[in-house]
Formats: sequence, C-alpha cells, structure tokens
Amino acid sequence: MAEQKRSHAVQVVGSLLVAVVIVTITIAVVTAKLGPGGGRDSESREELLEQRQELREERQELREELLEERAED
Amino acid sequence: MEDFVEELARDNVTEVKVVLASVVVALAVYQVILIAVGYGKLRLPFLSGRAASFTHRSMGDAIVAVTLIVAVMCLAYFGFEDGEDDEETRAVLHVIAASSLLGVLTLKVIVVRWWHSLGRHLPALGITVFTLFVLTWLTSAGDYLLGW
Repeated sequence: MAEQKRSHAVQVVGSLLVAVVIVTITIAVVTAKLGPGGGRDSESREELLEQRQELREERQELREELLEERAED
Repeated sequence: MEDFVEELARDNVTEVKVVLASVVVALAVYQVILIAVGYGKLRLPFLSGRAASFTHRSMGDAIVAVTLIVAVMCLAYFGFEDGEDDEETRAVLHVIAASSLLGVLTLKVIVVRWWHSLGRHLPALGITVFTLFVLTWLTSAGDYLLGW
C-alpha cells in the first residue's frame, strides 16, 4: 500500500516536471522567435504600434470631449 | 486598467500575451495526452491513469488562471474593437473563439466541480475547449508569430 502511494506520488511529480519542461521550452522558443527580427517584421510591428498610438489618442480626445459636454450640461 | 497592464508588461503587452498564450496551448496539448492516459485510451508503462488524471486536474487549475490573466490583458489593452482594416476578419474570429472558449471553459469547470450528473459530457467538453484554445491562439499569437 505504502509502495503504491509512493509510486503514485513519483508519477505525479514526474508528470508535473514534464509540464515545467514544456513551459520552459515554449518560453524559450517563443522568446527566440520574438527577438530582433522575429515574429512580424519590425516595419509592420512599428506600423501596428503607430496605429495603436493613434487609436489611443482618438479615445483620449473622445473622453475629453465627453467630459467637457458633461461639464457644460 | 490599460496603463496598469502596460506597466506590468513593461510596454510589451503583445509579446507577453503571445508567450503566455503559447504556453497555455502547449500545456493544452499535454493535457490531452494526460487525459487520454487517464481514460485508458493511451497506455504508458511509466504513468498510471490515476496519476495522469490527478496531474490533468492540477494543471487545469493553473491553465485556467493563466488563461484568465491573458483574457484580462487582452480586453484591457486591445478591447473588442481592435482590428485594423485587413485584420478585421482575424480579429472577429479571435473574439468569437475567445468568448466561446471562456464560456465552454466555465461550463467545464462547473461540470467537474459541481454538476457531476453531466460528467459523461466531459470528454466532448474537453475536446471543444482544446479546439477553441488552438483557434484562439491561431487567430492571435499564431498569427503574430508566423506573420500570416
């Protein structure tokens, strides 16, 4: 019985360690791909960042307009 | 919230999201293998069904936590309306897949923990959750990494 319990615990710990290895490998592979020149090329990444900045500015303007309108009311 | 997420990821929200989502998908593949062993569909000499099921449950909790973090980051930073011109279809698909994933995942957790009478549907729910995980990843992190 004790032997069975020990075997179960070893198997659980082992399978959890496999999960840790999977996580480590995935992080390493994805990070390597995301490094300089990885993933989308830097030009399209810059484009995306610019678009995001524009969107954020638009949202900020809208928020300010709404606040002004409310203050006027 | 948007600023908090940005600060937390040190201005690399997309990259952090891509890494976390990829980790979740990799673990989801492992989860499928574990539960196949748990149900006796796959026999491994070094892993019993009981141990595989136990690990599947424990890792499931961790996966749900990471998935929720990714979802909050995504909603807080990108929102629902993100999708520039040519990327609109991908963004819509991503929103549909991710919303469905959260719904089905919630249902699966409820069935596992409280609604035991629906336990016979767990394999179908699990396959659906896995498919939605892959679809959600393909329409965001996968697209970003592979640059389709």
